[in-house]
Amino acid sequence: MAAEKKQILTVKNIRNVNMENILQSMIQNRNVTRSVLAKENQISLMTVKHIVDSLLEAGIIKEKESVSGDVGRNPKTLEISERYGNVVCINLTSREEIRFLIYDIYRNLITERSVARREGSTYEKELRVAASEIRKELLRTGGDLVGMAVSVPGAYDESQDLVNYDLIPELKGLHVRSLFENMFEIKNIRVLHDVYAAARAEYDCLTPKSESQFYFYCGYGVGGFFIHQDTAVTGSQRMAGEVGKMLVPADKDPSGYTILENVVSVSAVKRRMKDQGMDIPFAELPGRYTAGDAQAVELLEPALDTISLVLYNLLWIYNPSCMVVDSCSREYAELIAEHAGRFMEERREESIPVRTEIRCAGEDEYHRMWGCFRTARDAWIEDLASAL
Amino acid sequence: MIIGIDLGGTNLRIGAVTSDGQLQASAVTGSQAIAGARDPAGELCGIIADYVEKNRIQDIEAISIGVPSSVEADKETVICTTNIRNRAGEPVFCHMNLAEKIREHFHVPAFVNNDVKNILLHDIAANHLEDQKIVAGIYIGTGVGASIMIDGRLLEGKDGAELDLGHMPYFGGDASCSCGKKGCCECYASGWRLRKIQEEFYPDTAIGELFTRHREEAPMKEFIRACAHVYAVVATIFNPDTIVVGGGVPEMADFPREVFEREVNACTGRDVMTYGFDYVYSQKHAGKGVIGAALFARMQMESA
Repeated sequence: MAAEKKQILTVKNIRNVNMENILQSMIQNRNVTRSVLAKENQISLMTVKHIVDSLLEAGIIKEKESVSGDVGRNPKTLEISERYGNVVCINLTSREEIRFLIYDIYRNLITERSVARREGSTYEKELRVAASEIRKELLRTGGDLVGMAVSVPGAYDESQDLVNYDLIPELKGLHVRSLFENMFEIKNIRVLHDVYAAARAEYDCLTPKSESQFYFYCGYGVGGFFIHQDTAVTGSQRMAGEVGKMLVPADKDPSGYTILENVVSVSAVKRRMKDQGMDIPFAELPGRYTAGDAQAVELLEPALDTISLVLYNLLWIYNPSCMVVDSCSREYAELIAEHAGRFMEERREESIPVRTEIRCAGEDEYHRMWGCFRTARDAWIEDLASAL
Repeated sequence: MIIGIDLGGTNLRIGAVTSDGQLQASAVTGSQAIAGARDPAGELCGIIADYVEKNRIQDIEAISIGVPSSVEADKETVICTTNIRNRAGEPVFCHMNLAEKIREHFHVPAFVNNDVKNILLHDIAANHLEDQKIVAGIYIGTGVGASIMIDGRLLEGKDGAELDLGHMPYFGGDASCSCGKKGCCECYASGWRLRKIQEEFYPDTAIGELFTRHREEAPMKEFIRACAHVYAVVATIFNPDTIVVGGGVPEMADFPREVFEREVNACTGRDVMTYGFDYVYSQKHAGKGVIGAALFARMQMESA
């Protein structure tokens, strides 16, 4: 029977779910009372009491007298122990540098730094240098490291601990998770496809949450990620959303087809700029296109038309509530979103209209790394709950 | 017992489905009876009532119908049956809450679902694919229908219009589609297209023999390639464990499965092909839409 799968609920995992929810509530709302926890999570005060007692006994949370001017006894409030300090998010998507961000468990950014890669040094050596910088920062900030998330520029095969990405060849053979496990001696290390992390962050930024979202990234690589009712559609081997590998027609290719990435990525456009002797930085191209520069239009128009058609196709497949466009070039992302929006608007009157809101992604890395942060923090909470 | 109904462009199939998915007392009638009726929903209820009485069905848990249309997220309202039209040429059911009409008539839970989604539910059960993470079913019949099961749940778009693959624009195509648009996939990969190929290139060959007699020839190879592209797009962006290949076209005699799979594999993204996926061919079985409708009802009732 194809009945909907249901988690087999045991007393232990009901307790774990309640404990996770309580810890999440305490993160959202510092200094919370037992009665608020019960109300927020729709569980009895007795259940809250049992779970809170266990958490207090394990030293995971602590109890304080609340400061209140009201007459009578002040209720006791609860908060997560201060010893739980940081979540580190590491960005390995650049060939030139390794960036890292350190957050506290409440998502406040403590440090944001980058370590430039040195020529002639191996990628592994550079990771060790970055790790040593991270350690110094952690010592300075204090508190236990509760989790790490590493953003990588390609699909990550968890079973092999390998990243499937050609553009940084040394990264392809590197066992990223075990390397960081050894360097930081913690188990909670999540390696995430950067597109997934960014898509997750965009989805989580929205209030209220959108029913579904398709995130499209067009930088040096091209990818996408679909989040449906708060669940990321990862595919059976976490390879879903590889829209950059979709076939599109190509006159110059003997087969008549090529992959989308070869037509629309920043590197593909840069290649065509070079072929046409256009010696300007890529960042200037969208501006020239908007100003009507003939060469810029000739260069970018095929890419924008192709992207719009692909996004329109994806609209028919996913029927998402919104689409988010992102790129390493803000100007390119804006151009794509505007062009695709116009393309869809022109089809508004078709007999079977399908529409969605299309917008650009948030700009700063702090927000982009939220997806990584949330994954690592949620995993930590899950581990805490299942360990008790 | 759940009463399952599969409403197609030509026939309406109805049956009683037991809790272990066995179809009993299957019956079929022309869809025209509904299309031509002044009150199509009332006519449908009449057909169901006659069937129940004639077959002395008792203890009805629910009534569930599959329709050739997208269905709104409430799983009750039919958006538009473009392939079932009345004498005036208007779609018979358009933004109609069909479940409510059935429920009011029979006083049992009623469900409405897209017919292809129901067929995928049947194929998943028939092939024991329930535990797979992602199962994608693409059915090429007169048009193209698709459904995807992700972690045991059917993919639902924001307004029920997801996976309308037949009306995605086909790259480089500008053929006119029956929907009024140009260049839809269905113009290149559908039973409708196959009929055109037959008329243009093989007028002396019966449509059922096209693959048997002409599968090595260029128009048929191009047709297979167009069909493969539709599957490859879905494989690339969903990374499924299994792709269910179904519908009237792949179920035709001598459909070239090997050539088709080779084309799909060649057009699917490299990352997905690192791991690959399985192909399962939907078997010819007239009652699969009926059983699927009952499976859908059971799924809805269990998750309520």
